[in-house]
Amino acid sequence: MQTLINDQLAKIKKETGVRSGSPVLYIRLSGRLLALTWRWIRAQWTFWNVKDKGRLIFQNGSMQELIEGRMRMGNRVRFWSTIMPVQLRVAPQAQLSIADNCYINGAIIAAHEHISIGKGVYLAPMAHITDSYAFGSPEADSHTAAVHIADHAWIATRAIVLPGVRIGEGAVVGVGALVTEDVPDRAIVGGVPAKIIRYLNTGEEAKDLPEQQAL
Amino acid sequence: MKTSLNINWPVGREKRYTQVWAKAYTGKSVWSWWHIWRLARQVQQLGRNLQLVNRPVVINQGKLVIGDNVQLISDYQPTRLAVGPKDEQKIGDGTVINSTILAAQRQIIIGENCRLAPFVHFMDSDFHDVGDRLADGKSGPIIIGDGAVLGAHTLVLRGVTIGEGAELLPGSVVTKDIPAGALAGGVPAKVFNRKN
Repeated sequence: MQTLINDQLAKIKKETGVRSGSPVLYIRLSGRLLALTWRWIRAQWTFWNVKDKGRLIFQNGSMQELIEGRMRMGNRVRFWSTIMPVQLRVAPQAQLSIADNCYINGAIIAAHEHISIGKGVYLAPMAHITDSYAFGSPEADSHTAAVHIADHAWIATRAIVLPGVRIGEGAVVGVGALVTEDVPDRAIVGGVPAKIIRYLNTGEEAKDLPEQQAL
Repeated sequence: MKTSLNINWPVGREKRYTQVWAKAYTGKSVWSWWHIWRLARQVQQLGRNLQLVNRPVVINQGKLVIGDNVQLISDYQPTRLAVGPKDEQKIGDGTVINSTILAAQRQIIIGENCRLAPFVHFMDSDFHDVGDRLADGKSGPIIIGDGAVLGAHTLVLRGVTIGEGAELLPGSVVTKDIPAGALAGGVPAKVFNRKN
């Protein structure tokens, strides 16, 4: 808790440039803590039926979720719905697992069989992840394949991930890409259908964030 | 709940709307009042004859300028104008904007008489770095020339300039500059031909 407050204080100082004794700092801090509390309460309300979930799950804005199957969540997962509402659909007998430090920002996730999302994955607005070609239809059962997104991947705006795809560790899926084949580790892909543009260098890949900074 | 409104503003475009909002009693319903008021108190400059269909979502921390005869339509989804701090967005005269998302970290300038189809999305920043997710990403201004037409679901990325009268096919992702009068499309967008 102490580190969380210190971290928030440092962030406010960086954004506004006020000095450490200023009352503005503490007014803003209280506002931020209130917002965090409210987002935590909303997430608890939304995922009340999800038994297997970690600590510090936050939700900003209203999202659309229909969770009939199994869902697992790690710590410090954020659901942000400022640009677009996050849409989660987990069919009966399907499984959706989301690991620690994920940031899900207006993405669309439809699980009919199994979707697993690794640690520190960023999903941008309107990124569409499905594991069935005909979600919700009677034929959906025969057209499914599990989707696996490895740690620290970033799926950019409006990218579509088709069933049966594994996205590698630290991979970046470009804007508007249609991912039809597996993406290797640390690759940047883009286009329709997605092709490898280049690979990330050793210094460039995403790292684990410190715990509180993820908020 | 659908409201539309077409008002001849009794003021010059340099003045803020809030000074004269009481004179604007020509709205068709109470809701149009409310929408105009919500928009106008977030905008630095508002031109004459604004037409609204439903309420746009405006998050303005920087500078937002809307010209004359602009139509802001939000029927498929709310038009979202998000302007970050120290940044600016300008919408030129006579532009029609339909269910579009404009997310500005730096600068978005839309010329006069542009047509933006539904679900067009402007992003002038990456918002975060590829590796260090807490660092600011690359950004660059987006400039749309006069009379450009963007098809539905077009996505315009940072640092792109679209020339005057250019036309973009639906679903294209614009990553590089488009010359004036060109017809372009695809992911990423390529120029197909040039009009005379």
